[in-house]
Amino acid sequence: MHSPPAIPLRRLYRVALVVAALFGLLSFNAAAQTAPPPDSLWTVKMPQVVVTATRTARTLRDVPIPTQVVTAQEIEAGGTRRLSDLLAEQTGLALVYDHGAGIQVQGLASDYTLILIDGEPVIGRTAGTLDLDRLTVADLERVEIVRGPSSSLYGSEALAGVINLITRKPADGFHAGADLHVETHQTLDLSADTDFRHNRLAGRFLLNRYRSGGYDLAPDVLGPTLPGFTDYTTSSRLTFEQNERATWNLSARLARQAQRSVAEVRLGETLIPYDDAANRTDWSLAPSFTYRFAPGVKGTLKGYASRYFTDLTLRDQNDGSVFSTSRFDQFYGKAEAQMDAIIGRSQLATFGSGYLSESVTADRVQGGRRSSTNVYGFAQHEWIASRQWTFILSARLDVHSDYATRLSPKAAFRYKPFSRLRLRASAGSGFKAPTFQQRYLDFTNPLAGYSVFGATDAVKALQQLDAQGQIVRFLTDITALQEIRPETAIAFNAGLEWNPIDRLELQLNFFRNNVSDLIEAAPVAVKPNGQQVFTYFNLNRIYTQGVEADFTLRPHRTVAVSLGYQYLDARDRDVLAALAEGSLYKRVNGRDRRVTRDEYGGLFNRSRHAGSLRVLYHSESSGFTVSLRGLYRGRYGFGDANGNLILDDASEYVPAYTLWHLTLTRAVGPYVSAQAGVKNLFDKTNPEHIPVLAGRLLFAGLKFNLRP
Amino acid sequence: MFTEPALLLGSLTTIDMRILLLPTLLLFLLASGCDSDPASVDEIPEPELMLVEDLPADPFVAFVEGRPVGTGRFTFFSLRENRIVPAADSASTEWDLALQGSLLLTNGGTSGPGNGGAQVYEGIFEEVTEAPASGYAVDAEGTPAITPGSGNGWYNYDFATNLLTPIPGRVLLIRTADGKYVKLRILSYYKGAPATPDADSEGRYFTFEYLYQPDGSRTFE
Repeated sequence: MHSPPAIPLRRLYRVALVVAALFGLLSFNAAAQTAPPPDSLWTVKMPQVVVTATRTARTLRDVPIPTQVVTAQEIEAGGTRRLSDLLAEQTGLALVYDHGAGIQVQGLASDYTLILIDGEPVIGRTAGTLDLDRLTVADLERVEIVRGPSSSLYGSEALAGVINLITRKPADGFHAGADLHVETHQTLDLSADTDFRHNRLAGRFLLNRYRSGGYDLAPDVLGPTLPGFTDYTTSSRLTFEQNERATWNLSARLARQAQRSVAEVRLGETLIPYDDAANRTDWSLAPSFTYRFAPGVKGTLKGYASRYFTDLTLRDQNDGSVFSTSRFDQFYGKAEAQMDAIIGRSQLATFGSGYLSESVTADRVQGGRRSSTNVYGFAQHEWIASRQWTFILSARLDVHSDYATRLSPKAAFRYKPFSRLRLRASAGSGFKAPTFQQRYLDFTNPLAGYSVFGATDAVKALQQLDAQGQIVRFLTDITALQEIRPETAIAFNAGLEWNPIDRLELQLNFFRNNVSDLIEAAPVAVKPNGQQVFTYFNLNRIYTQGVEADFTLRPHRTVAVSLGYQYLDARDRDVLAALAEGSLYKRVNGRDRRVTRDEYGGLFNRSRHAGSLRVLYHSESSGFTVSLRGLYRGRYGFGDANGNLILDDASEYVPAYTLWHLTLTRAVGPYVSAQAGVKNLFDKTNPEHIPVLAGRLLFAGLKFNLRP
Repeated sequence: MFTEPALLLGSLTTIDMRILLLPTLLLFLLASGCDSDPASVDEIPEPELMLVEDLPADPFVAFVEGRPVGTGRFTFFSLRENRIVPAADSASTEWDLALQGSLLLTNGGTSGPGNGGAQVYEGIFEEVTEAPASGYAVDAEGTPAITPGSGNGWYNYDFATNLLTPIPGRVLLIRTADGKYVKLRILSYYKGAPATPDADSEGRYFTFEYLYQPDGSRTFE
């Protein structure tokens, strides 16, 4: 199965560019002559409603937890196609690539951020990364980004933040749309969607096909820098309002990605070319039922099932023989009940409980397949004490079959001394469950001879080895091994929103995350071959702290200018202790000396400074939109180069860089808009450290929006 | 130039020009003349810094299932005489350090008949002016004195790059087969001691510096 030949696609690309340009030019007058509504940015007139921070619908301004909303209009104005591209443009979020594009929130690794679609988790992580290139933004109404831990509502993974993709709600009547987007590197994104609302029935359906041809920044090496892939996504939702009280919902999603590449494997003196095929399928199904017992009292029953599976095959190009295969299959099933009740005029109580079952089938998993269960309950109480004060308390208890029980509390308040100033603060805890690997791995390196066991089976596996005479010596008393705990955080957020005049808004948020019990492998026993047996322990401690600032100015009704900045300080507390002790060294010109505290650059992959500039022009009368974004990423460490495993040397940094993206959109009559733009205007690349930085990309697109 | 005991050293050279001449001559004397001419106090040489380059430690010779493997043999080395000891003498007290891949053994315990031992000391090589009196481990079955494994002994192993890097600030304090003291610092695991090894670097070649105190005391000054 190979990708379609390149030529027709290139032709299509050119045709589309020309068509887009023509549409834009020819229709200029026509569009200008349509009845002009007043110029304005589509800053939402209605108060923005968000659901992620409290699991209830609240207006954004009332939420005491740092929440950011990216609206569909902003997504469209930027022309981004995948969630990774969209999040990369948000202040304080950074993409980190490790087996896919993951997102770093408040300086915490991507496995600490929960990704939701309409409130339900997206599953399927590789090496902790949930690849955000998997997710299209085609059918989104908005993206909600909650910073700081939300495990008190969502449980595992909601440690650094929660990113919730809210899909479009059908409007009255019938609507159909289509979207065509072509881009350098034979990228083609096609979407067709439809939605309707008729009496009590509403529905939505999306079909998206995204194909990228990949690219090669290092032609002297066999295989592309980034291989091409084709991704299909269908997503649908059906809502039936049975009566005033009862509402039924069914959401379904299916995505499939195929990636073909070539890779060289060194076998002795020769390099053997391999065909590398990777397929990924994930689906989810979410039925739910909501019943309104009384005004302000609502109950919801939800089911959620999701499966994620991948298979990878390396095949010898010379004789077609299979060199290696690897498969991974994860299932996630959940049943949950939630009650929301408004009590009196100022109290809102939310509570619920659920049962979660997960299983994984993979190579190197003990027994090939393992499963676990998680029973949980959560409660939240919101008290609107006065016009000035709002308080929220929440907590969740997770009882899991594989690791220690975890209670996650959180408290937050909002204070509005006067209408133009809002202060808020929150303190909460978050956790991340040990990964499947950390729980179930059963691996012995066939050549080196060392073994690694997941924490769930470690004691049993060690006793078995001991009984077989395969243990020379224990390095620790295994009967005293503690049950593995989730990685946990305690976090504080405090900030303000201030709009001294209508056209100006300033947002500030200070954060501090103390993460402890980071899980690492450590030796527990020695085998007769001298090699060690490893299992997983709760060991390291890190912290991240900093400030996020956003400043938005609207000098004119048609223009918005935003400046964003994040200062970040992220360090390993055990490294700090070692530095204080003077027990960390570096080698400079062949001599060893102690590393000073000033030389320590903190955790890898963290930029101390990051910033963004956003200029948006939108004129309703001319139908013209310009979006210019400048994204600065300060230098950051890529890895250790001098043997002491920490970031302490200038040679260990990726230099700072700035990317500029420009997107022009023009309404072409009532149903069509044309778009063209440039990503990475100044063609920045860094093949050695940032292979995903593809260089300058040109794109053009057409969007049809039919609403008879 | 100088006459080095090149016949014995093979590919090893001592390159630091400041220290080349004297130790080489002294070693030559030691190696050739010790037996016949018992050393008086005056003749015991001052400890000198020695540099050993590209000492092969079972280099890769073949590929099994795509992975490089060596022959599984150790290279035996005399720190006292700065020379490779023939494998035939592996059961003797001729050698002080045996190397195979990243594994280092000393001549004592289960590894040899000598009085050898070692400890991994955290500190700066130059600042180690005296070997500690205690704390030396002796090789035992499955637990060599210099503990193998990333981060345990002298190296860190990077699973991402498959590279092995000496840990700065680790000094190997080694007791020779005849109970004398050596401080030793590994400089590189790769042939030619490249400043930044990469995937093409040929591993299992040790470059290290050491200081041997021949007078039997623990001092390195």
